[in-house]
Amino acid sequence: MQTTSPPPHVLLSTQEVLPRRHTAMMLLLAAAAGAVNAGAFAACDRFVTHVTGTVTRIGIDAGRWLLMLEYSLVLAAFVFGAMASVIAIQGRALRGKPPLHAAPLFGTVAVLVLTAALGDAGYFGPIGAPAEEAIHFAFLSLLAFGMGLLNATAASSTALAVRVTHMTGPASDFGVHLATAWYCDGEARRQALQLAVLRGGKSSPSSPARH
Amino acid sequence: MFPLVGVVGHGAFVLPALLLLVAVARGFHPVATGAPPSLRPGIPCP
Repeated sequence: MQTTSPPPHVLLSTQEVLPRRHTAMMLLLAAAAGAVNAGAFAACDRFVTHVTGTVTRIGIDAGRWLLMLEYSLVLAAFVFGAMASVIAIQGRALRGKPPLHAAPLFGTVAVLVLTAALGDAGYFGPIGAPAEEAIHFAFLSLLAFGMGLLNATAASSTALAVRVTHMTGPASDFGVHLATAWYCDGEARRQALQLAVLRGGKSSPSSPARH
Repeated sequence: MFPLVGVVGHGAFVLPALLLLVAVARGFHPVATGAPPSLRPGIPCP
């Protein structure tokens, strides 16, 4: 297999992300995203870490222009969050400076703490109310921005090998790598299985213990 | 998280924030991950 150097903004290449010593870190990122998604659902009956649900809501609400606009703002917030991650990672690398991989995560932490503070102060209304008011969409947009920031940071830092806020892509990759392993043998099969495990839960029994 | 939000309200969003801080503490930066020297602060790229 031909090996090329990862782009300068990459923290861990696809191969470097496989060892077990990074498992806890990646699981923590995914657990944080899962907690936010569950929290958003508990708070106002909407999922917020992946855009498929939001885009589906835009379609479901076709003709109800205000609702479509509000869900579009949630979608845009996710995209803006992803764009914001570039400032500290690719943006710095392009200017010849070392990327600050943790900086966008601190940004996500700040967004979550702000959400908690505003929610506790009563700005987002009571827990469990369905998303109907503009303030609920402000709540969802804030969280979506943080999740865009988090997912893009994980993706950019691992050469697009790891996504932490949604399962569709990783589930598809898991299937592809599993089927690839079926057709291969030797080192190629081991590598395909490692990649399948990375997508399937980041706990590979075949990862060398020295890592 | 789901039941936690029901109990403590929006303040529960501090929990995922803590998880992210632990992830950073566990090494979401070049030195801890053993990333290439070009990404480690203070070590010039050859």
